Parts: sequence; structure tokens; C-alpha cells
Amino acid sequence: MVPTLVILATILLALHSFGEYRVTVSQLSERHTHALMTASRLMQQSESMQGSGAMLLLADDHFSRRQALFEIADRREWMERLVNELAVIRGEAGSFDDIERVRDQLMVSFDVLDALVQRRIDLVGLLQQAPDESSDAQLRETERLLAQQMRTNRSLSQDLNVAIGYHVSGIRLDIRDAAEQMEQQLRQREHALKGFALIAVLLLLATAFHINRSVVRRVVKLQRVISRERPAPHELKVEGSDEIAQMARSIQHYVYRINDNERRIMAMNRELDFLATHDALTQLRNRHYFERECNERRSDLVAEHYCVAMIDIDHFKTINDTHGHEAGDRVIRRVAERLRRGLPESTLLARYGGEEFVALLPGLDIDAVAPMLESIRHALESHSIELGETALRVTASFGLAQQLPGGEFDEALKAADEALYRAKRSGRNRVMYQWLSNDDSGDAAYG
Amino acid sequence: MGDAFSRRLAVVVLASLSFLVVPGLAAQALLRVELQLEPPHLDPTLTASSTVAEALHLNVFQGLTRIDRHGEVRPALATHWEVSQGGLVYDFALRSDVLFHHGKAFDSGVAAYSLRRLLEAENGNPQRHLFQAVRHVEEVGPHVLRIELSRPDALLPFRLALSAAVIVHPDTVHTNRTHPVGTGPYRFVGWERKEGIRLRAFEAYWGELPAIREALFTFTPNRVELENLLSEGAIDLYPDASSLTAHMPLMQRADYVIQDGLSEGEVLLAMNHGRALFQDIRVRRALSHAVDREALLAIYPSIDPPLIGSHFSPRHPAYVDLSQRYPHDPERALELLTEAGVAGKARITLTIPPTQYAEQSSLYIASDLEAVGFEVELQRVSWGEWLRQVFTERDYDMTVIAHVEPMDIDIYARDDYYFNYHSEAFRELWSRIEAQQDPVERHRLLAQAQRHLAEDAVHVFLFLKPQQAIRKSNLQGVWGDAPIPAVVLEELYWE
Repeated sequence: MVPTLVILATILLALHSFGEYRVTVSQLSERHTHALMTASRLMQQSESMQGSGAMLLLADDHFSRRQALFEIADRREWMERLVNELAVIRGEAGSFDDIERVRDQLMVSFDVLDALVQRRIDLVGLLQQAPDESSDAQLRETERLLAQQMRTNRSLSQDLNVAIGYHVSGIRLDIRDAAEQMEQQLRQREHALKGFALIAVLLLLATAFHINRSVVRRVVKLQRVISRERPAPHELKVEGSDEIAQMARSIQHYVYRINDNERRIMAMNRELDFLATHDALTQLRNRHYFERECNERRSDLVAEHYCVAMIDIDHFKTINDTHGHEAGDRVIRRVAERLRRGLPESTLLARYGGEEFVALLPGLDIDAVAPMLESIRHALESHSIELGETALRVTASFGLAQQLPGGEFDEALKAADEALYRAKRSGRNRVMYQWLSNDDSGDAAYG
Repeated sequence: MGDAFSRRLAVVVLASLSFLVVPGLAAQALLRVELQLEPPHLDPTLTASSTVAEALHLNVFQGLTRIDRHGEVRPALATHWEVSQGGLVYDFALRSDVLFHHGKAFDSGVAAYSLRRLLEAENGNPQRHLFQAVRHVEEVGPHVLRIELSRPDALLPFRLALSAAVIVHPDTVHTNRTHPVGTGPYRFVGWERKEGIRLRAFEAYWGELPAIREALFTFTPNRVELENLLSEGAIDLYPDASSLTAHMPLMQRADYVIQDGLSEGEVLLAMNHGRALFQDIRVRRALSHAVDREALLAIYPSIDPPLIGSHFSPRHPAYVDLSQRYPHDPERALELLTEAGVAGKARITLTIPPTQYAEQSSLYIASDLEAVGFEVELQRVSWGEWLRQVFTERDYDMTVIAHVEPMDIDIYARDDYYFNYHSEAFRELWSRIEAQQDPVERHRLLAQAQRHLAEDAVHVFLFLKPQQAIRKSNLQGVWGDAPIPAVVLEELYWE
């Protein structure tokens, strides 16, 4: 805003100066031209007056005499006005008395000259009609007086020229002074204009610098932060209260909101993922996950040995029917808990059906797993579950199978299921297991 | 912001610069016209001084009709007119798009007011006598004006085109003398006695806006000064440069052109019939013989205007050549003067208005009169003094003057004219002319009127005033002849 004003002010000053000088120059030139024209016209008329005087002197009839007189009268009348104009132009700068005095004397001289010329014309006329001596003498005397008067006239004309010349030179000096004065003023104004122009340029530079700092750099920084894949909101640092700061703040809010939404979507995804692979009641893996996982690991499983265990809660239907579903759910959760605590970290444990669980124990053999299952079984059996006032004793049956390298997983699962079946049939609350091998197959009970 | 702002800035800068440039152009557009005779005032309906008409007629003021450069009558504020009832009723259809310079509209009411004002004797219109046939003026509609005549007058449209019949507005009739307001293409800007009359194109003019936007009419009676101004190139147009001594040198200059033409002005050595000396027809005839008019034409170095023998233009079809009725014959003049008993005794003052033709002629005339025994005094007066002393107070012996109004032979039928010429016979003849509708018979009567004035040697009829205009060579549109006294700015343009 400020530089605009300064530039505008400079332009206006320049225009104003131009306008002012145009007016001054035109006024000066008009006034001085007028003064010079007036003076030179006056000078010219004063000089021409001698010519008119000569015309009068040479007049040999009244026609020529009057013609000269008309001219003299015209010159005189105009000179009078020119002197008045000059007096107005020159003001107090000199006296015009000299001009007026000499001019008046000159006019008187012309009157005398006219009277003499008139007499000469009449005398010549008389002499042409009838020559006589007295007229002849009079004519000679008139001629003598005329010559004398003409000298007076000439000297007066010269005096007039000198008097006018004084003013002409005065006007010339005035013009020179005015020109010098104007040149000085012009120079001053020129300096002022240069100063203004310099200030304007500096202000422009300052403005450019300021804009660079306050606008360009901030915008570039903002742009860099935004163009990152994950802009960090705290990097969208903004100061001030201008449009850029407001814009940056909006972007910051926006990034915050995007990050927030992303977190929420991730959490939701995680939850959905969990729900898809876990059993809601026990928080264990569900059967779908277990089967998919086993399927994915199939090739790995072929290369190593592992155990598969199937676990089923004994008499669960009775518990459900007697104590209700809630009690049934608590029982399932308790069994799941025992299983999770009792099996190693690497175990893939899942709820396989209503009260049935399955576990894949990679890298372990029956000798390692059977005691774990046994201790779980024992823990279940020895810790009853409090259901209001009654304490419920829950047991489970365990079927365990070990697969040797080169065997199929489904085979192991089937064997574990068969072992569980046998455990159920053998009176429940026990661990039954079976080795699988190409040549040696058989099962055993444990507990 | 940048673009819009720089555009605005550019506009501001350009607008400011235009202020610096325009005055230069305006200065070139100013036209300076020199008319020599300073007008007594600026109301053409109140003065016979043709210089008022020259400056203002057809520029500031307009009539219902106008005269063009060929002397033909043309429509002006009236678009056309119809004549009925045997030439006794004229219906003028008026323009409806005309504004006066002070913004008021022109209509039949204003036109009727103007003409009624012209007809009333107390208003002192110098051409009122030309409208004696008008019996009644009536507004028929807002833009139709009816003029009823008491006797047919075929010249009515011509008379309405004269400068004293211009249309004025009732609001401004009392100020027109100093601030004229009319309907013309130029409005009055100012009149400073030292500077001149300034006119500027009227933006709301009903016609086409003229090419010359501003004009200055100056009045320089002093011959020496005038020749000086011309030689300095300060004058763009001087319509009456005919008898300038500096004429020939100016003709050599490339920046000036001298254009030959004639006016309708009869130049007279007029005499005051109220003076006893001029009541004797022998004296008057002696004067006519004394003046060598052929020699007098030497005042026009480059044109040979026709001599006249009566108050009538050789350009008129009814003209009779009477220029040789009184051939230059000083001896016959002396005889007549001797018969009248005034030879060698009479003294004449010749009052000279400040026109070039009058000043130059008076030198020849004085010598001619002296040659037949008169004692002559030349009295040079200003135009204002001439109008007062000669025209109004009729205190003069003789004067040299041009009567530039066309077809104004009727002035000899006027009792109140400055000639003090009273002729019952001529008055009777003139009333017959006015009543005569048949052109052939009318021309015959006009010829008779010319002869009457010549026989009566009312004045020494000198010549038809040439109208040699000196103009800048790139100024076009200047009238060749001057059928009426007017400088029609509207038709001028710079080439």
C-alpha cells in the first residue's frame, strides 16, 4: 500500500511539475514574447517614423503630404498604445517619461515640418503660376527651415530610439533572469523528483523482500511439508494472522483430522481383523483361522514333527441345561484360559466348535506335550468353578496325536480326534494319544 | 490486484498526460478574424453597423431564412414556407430541434415575439422599414408561424434573412448588447475591448458541429498596426483587405492567399443634404464631376471594381449602368460651382471612418475637391465617433462610406436617414416599387429609381466595394463574394 502511494505521489508530483512548468513556460513565453514584440514594434515604429518624415519632406503635393500625415498619425497613435502596454509590462522597472517627452517633441516637430511642407507646396504652386522674387526668397527660406527641422526631427527620432532601446535591453535582462530563475526551480524540482524516485525504488525493493519473506518463503515451506507422504502437523508451523497463516492453520487442522481418521480406520480394521480370526467368547483363534493357518503352513508342517491336540469339555450339554448358557459360557472361558496358560507360546490354539478346542504344537513330541495336557486336565479337575452358591467341577477330555516328518496334517488332526473319541469313550477326563508313523501305529492313554 | 491496478494506473497517467497535450491542440484551433471596425455593441437588431453582423450574424444569431454565399435565400430556422392568398399570407414551418445558447427552446412563440419586436418603432430596429408590408404575425401551431401582409412582398423571405431580422429570445433581449444569445452554431464567450470577441462552438447546436471550434474577432482600425499584424502572421482571416498598402507584399507570401470578390457595398462620397451647400443640385453635380473615380481605383492595387453611378449593385438584374453620367470634368465642375456662386469660397470637412477604403479614397477626393477650388479638411474619426456624429447626430459635411446591406436603395425613401435627403418623388416611386408584383415592371421601376438618384446627384456614387479577403493559405471555405456582411465561421475549416 505504502509503495503504491509513494509511486502514485511521484507520478502525481511529476505530472504536477509538468503541468506547472507548462503553465509557467507558456506564461513566461507569452509575457516575454508580448513584451519583446511590443518593444520591437515600438522600436520599428520609431525607426519607420523617420521614413514617414522623409515621405512628408518629399511631398510635392497635398495628396502625398496628407498620405504621409495619415501614416504619421497612425504610427503615433499606435506608438502611444505600445508605450502604454510597455509601461504595464515593465511596471515600476523604469521611467517612461523620456519616451513620452521625446515622442511629444517629435510630434511637435512633425507639425512644424508639415506646416513648412504645406507652405513649400503652396509657394511652388504660386511660382509655377507667376514667378516673383519674394515668393522665391520665401521658398529658399522655407527650404532652409525644412532642412533644419529635418535635422531636429532626425535627432529626436534617434533620442526616441535610445529611450526605447533602454527598455528593450531591460526586457532582455528580465528574460534572462526569468530563464535562470526557472532553470534553478527546475533543477530543484528535478532533485526532488529524483529523491522521490529513489525512495520509490527502495520501497519497491523492500516490498519485494518483504513479500519474499512473508509470503513466498512461507508458502514454499508449507508446500514442502504438505507434499510429504505423511505430513506432520507440528511441522505446519505458522505465525501471524495473515491469509497464509490462516491457510496453514486450515491445512494443519486438515492434516490432524486426516491422521485421526486414519488411526480410527486402522483400529477399526484391527478390530475387524481380530473379530474375523478370533472367537468372541474366549478370545482364542477361531476354527476358520486355525484351518487357514494350518493350510498356509502345510508345506512347513510336512518338514517337521508336531503335535495336534483336540480337547472337549465333558458333559457340557448337562452344564448348559442345568446351569444355563451363562454358566456354559463361563465354563468355556475357564477351559480356554487354562489351555492358554498351560500351553507354550508357540501353540496355535483355537476354539474348534461349541465346547471343542484344537491346538497345534509345532516342534514338540508327545513326550513333551502329554504332560502339559495332563497338568491342564488336572488343574481343571482340581479347581471347581463358583456358580452362585454351587461350585461346579468341570473336566475335559484330550486327544493328542503326533505327526512325524512326511505326514499329512489332516492325518494328524484325524488321529487327534480319534484319540479324543477314545478318551471320551474310556470314561472322559483323561488324555489319550497316538503316534503316527508309517510302520508303527498305536495309541496310548495317559492319566 | 496487479493487473487491474496497473490498468487503473495507466488510465490515470494517460488522463493526466492528456491534460498536458490537449491545450496545444486547442491553441491551433483558434481562428483569428480581423474586422477592423469595433462594433458599438453586439445586438444586430439595434444597429446599422455592419461589423456587428459580420461577427455575429449566422454565427451566434440566425433568422428564419438565410442568404448563402451566392446570394440565394435558403431555409434556416424555418425549413420551408408556403405562400397563399395571392402572396398575402406566408406560413413558415419552423425547426423543432433548436435550442438557444441559454438552453431555452425555439418555437413559434419566440419567433413571433422576435418579429413583433422588430416591427415596433420604439425598439429602434435599423431595418424595420423593410417590413412595412407586414400586417400581422401569428403562431398557427407550436412550430408554424404565419405572417400576413397588407400588400404582396415577394422579397419577404429575403428580408427575413437579413441580420436585423434574426430571432432573439425574450429572456435575453435586454442583455444581447453585451452578451448575445442566439440559436447559431457558435455561442458568445466574451468580449474584451482590448482583445476582441470570442466565440466557441455550441455543443447543442441543431446542425452539424462546425470544424472551427473557437474564433476570435479582433478590431484594429490603425492601418500601420494592422499591416504589422498581418505581416507577423497573427491574423488568419481579414475579409476586407482590398485597399491595404501592404497588399502587394502580402500576396508574395506563401502563408497567405488573397481571394478576389465583390460585396454588395456601394461606396459613396455621401453628403449631408441638411447643409445649405449641398441643397443646390449644381453643387452636387459639380462634386460628381470633380471626383476622378477612375483614378480613385488606384487604391485597389490588384482588383478593378466596377464604378457605379447610383445606389445599386451591378450584380442585380435591374441594374442600369449610370457610371458615366458625370464623367470626370473639373472644368464643368468649376462652371457649375461658379453658377451656384460658391466657387473658391466653400469649405468642406470630410469625415473619415477608420476603414482602409475611406482613408485611402479621402486622399484622392481631397485633392480632386481642392482642384476645383474647395478648401478641404480631413477629419479622421473612430468608428464609434462616426456612428454617433455622422450616422446618429448627422453632424457632418461629407463622408466616405460603403453601404453593404444588399438591395437597400429604399434608404433614400426614408425621412429619418442620416443623408437628410427628402424627395417626395422618390418616396412615391419607392412605394410603387414595393407594391409591384410583376418582376418586369418592378425592374423597370427600379431602373427609374436608380436614374432618379443619379439625376439628383444625391451623392457622388463611387464604386462597388471589392471584398478581397486575405486568409491563411490552409484556411478553406471563405466566401468569395459578400452578398451580405457576414463571416460564416460554420463554413470554414483548416486544410
